[in-house]
Amino acid sequence: MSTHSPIPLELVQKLGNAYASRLLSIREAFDLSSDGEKAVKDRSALADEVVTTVFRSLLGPEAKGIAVLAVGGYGRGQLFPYSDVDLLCLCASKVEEKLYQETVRSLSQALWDLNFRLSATTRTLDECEKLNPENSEFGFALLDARALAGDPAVLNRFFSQSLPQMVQRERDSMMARIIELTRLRHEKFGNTLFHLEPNVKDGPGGMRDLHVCGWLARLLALTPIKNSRRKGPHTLSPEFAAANSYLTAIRCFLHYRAGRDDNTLYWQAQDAAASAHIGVSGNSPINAPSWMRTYFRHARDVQRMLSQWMEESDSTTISIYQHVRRWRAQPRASEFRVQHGHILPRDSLTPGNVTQTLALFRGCASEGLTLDYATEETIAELLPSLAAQLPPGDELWLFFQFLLQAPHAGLALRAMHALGVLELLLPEFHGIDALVVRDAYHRYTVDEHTFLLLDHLHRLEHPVSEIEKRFDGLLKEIERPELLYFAALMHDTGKGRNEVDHTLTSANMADAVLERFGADDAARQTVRQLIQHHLEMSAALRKDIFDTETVRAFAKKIGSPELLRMLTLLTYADIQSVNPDALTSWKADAIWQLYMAASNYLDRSIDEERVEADVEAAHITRMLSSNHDQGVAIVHFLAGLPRRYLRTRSAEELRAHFALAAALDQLPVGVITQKLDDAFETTLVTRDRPFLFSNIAGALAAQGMNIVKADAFANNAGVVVDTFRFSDPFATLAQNPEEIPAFENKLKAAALGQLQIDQLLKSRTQGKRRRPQKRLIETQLHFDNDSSSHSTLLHVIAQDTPGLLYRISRTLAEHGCDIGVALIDTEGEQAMDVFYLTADGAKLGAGRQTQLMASLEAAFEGL
Amino acid sequence: MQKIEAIIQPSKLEAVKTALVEAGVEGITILEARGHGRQKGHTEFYRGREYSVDLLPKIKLEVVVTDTMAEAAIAAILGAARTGKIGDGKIFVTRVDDAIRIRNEDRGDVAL
Repeated sequence: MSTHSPIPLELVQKLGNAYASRLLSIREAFDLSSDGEKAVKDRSALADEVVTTVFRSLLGPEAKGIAVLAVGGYGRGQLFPYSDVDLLCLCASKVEEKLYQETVRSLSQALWDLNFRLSATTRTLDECEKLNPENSEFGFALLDARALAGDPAVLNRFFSQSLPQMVQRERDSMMARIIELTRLRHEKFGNTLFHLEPNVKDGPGGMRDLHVCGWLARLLALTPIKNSRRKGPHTLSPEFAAANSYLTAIRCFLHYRAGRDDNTLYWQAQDAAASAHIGVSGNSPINAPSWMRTYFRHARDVQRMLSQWMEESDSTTISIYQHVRRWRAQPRASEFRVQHGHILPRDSLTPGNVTQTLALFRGCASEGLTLDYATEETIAELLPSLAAQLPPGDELWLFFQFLLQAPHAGLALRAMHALGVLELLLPEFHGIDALVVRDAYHRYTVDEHTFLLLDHLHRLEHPVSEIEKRFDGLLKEIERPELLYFAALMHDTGKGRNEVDHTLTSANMADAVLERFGADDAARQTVRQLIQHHLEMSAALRKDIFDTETVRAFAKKIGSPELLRMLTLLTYADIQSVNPDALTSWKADAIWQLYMAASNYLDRSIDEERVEADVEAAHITRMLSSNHDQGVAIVHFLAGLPRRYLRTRSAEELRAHFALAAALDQLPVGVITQKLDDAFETTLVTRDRPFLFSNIAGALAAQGMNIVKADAFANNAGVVVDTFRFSDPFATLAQNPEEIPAFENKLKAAALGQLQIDQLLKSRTQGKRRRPQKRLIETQLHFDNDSSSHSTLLHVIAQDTPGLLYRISRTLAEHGCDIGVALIDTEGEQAMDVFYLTADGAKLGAGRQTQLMASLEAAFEGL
Repeated sequence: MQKIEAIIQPSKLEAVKTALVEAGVEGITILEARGHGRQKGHTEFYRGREYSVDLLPKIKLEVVVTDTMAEAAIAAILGAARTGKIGDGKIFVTRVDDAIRIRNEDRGDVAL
């Protein structure tokens, strides 16, 4: 039997000419209509004709034991202009495979000569019945197989036996493999679709994801009903068709534009596609960023569909053990439940019940799980009713504070954003929805950049590298982390409004939100400053960070250590979220160096930066919104206090302290105590006198309080404002709030020198065994005569022990030292104190320093 | 053709880039580097811990220029990177045999 006769040359030429001219017609039709689906269908039909003609001319109309099939994209009838033409030469058995070896070679050769980008494979029917784990992609390509020509018996057996058998047998492993490969592919793109220059084929939300949806849908359709937990339909949604049509048009456009299989939407291609109105209707001019928003919306739909199909497939393939584990991992929350690894409402969602809906997103943020398909659909349907029933601002502020601080805040925010809930609560976010800001540095859209920033901040909670541990240390020191996270969420919302500087617009928008939420003034002030300054650190990094002047200028602009810590973290995570390579270890080091230098500068320059009453009167009066007469008195009170005091206290606190200072003639010691989240804070306002600071510190220690932070400042008139933050390990005040007045009276007596602190302390510590120390800290004492122009700085690092601050400050007083400023801080078991000292109105001389050092060392010995 | 490698202060990068572009240099490779010469590192104390910076952050930039351009490029770097203080950096010049543009295999000066 002859299996092979060469193809006549004239036939090849004739086919070649016809093929080229019809390809041209397809292209011209696309240029006119931008109809991608028609172009890929027509090219596929044209390829069918050519392949069939060549095949039949080689084997005649009655070929036995061999057939040719279109697979992959060609099998789906979607042949893109420069995509490979995937052919399967299917032989009945090894015998035919050998027999037709030369024929297949001639077929390939002829198609190559016709300028086909051919990718041909030969398999026997038996080989198609098994999934090759080494080449599972071939198995997926078979799912799209379509008969072209050849022996009907071979084709019949393939479609009625080989393929169904393979799919039936390998269904679970195919689904698992498809999901695995999809996840790996997405990882290559940073797991986000929001790239400024996305790949429309392989990127998340691209065409490959649509194919995956199609494969999974087909495989799931074969799942026995009893195993399927899917509540939704087993069909592909209308968004699927819309996204397919849109992405097909873009991909065709990109292929024709590049003249090759190029699927990246570079900026130039975006401009060209926007001006050619690819994938969008109407003739009115459209700019590239607006056009890209349409792209991102479709891609977001695709990704949502894909995750639903992947979740569905996942839940049919996981083992019973995994199901049990997932069920057991269920949180004991009353607002939502967890099923098959998804968050679901405990009771069915009711229209207008926003609280119920928000609880689900709180669940996502705390559990790190997504909503299930049906819940998402319900929320989308209920959105208009939710809009009409928004909760009051303070409730929303509580919601956001919880959400933003939860470990998976980014995940929850993305889900809220995709469903329109985020914009419902924060309409300010609309301006940056899928917003493209073009520069060579940014890789993601502004909204995605924002979510990534939050992800990176939360990732610091589990530090791996040394530098991450340092920044994590900063994160732990932040007193109101919710403000950092909220500033992060809002920091770029002013972008895309054609303004040169988006920081002010973003700060205003954030402030408007916080006003609506009824947040306190201090919170609003912090968030405003943080957003307004969010590029200052990056700007300072471009200067010489080892230059004192750079550090001084930067530190002065930021002003307070707390704001500096937050800004450092915001900058660190902001740079990291620009693109995966933006934060090099070199840059992270530079951020740390600048932070450290600025922080040290702030601690060492306090008495250089004092309130100048004559210069700042108007500003202070405005800041405290006081009337003129009171304003003059307040300015008098503030004169000479370090500017740090002004920057670290709210307007209400300043007014309260002033009131105490104004009443000193009647009440020589003014005291305010307030309860914080996990500590108490007491501020004393009184006239300076010897041993004042040590007496108060001692009285606190004698009452069992553990001082964690303190600062002491004095104004020009000799009025001091000393603030102590302390934990209450025995819960004396927490359990007995009625004891607070007695507690305050004791502090007042101590301030006036009416208590025997030494004895009180002795009776407290006598006979008690000291807690073992977890970490031994070596005492470091260091005098610094250079940082301040008129004080000597004493730096103390020591093991934090009860009465430590009392001992140090008492020793200082015994040596005739006046404490102008004291900054007391504790980190774990380590006390870190800075005292600004003068003696007889001048810096400490060498002799006094030596004596003081000896006494301090002796005092530490006794501890 | 000559290759000019310069180690400069990171804060001088913008100025040096601008000066090189003004001098007619079209391609620059920039690398984040760490190192020290005579300007040794220093130690910073922060919250009781020592953070020593023995390798200082530097920028290394590389340009390959025609022989006629070399002096102008060197002058541009010198002018823009100098503060007069220790740590301003160094410039190294080496001869380059050939340059090939990968896209079209242009060779020699035209490939620059």
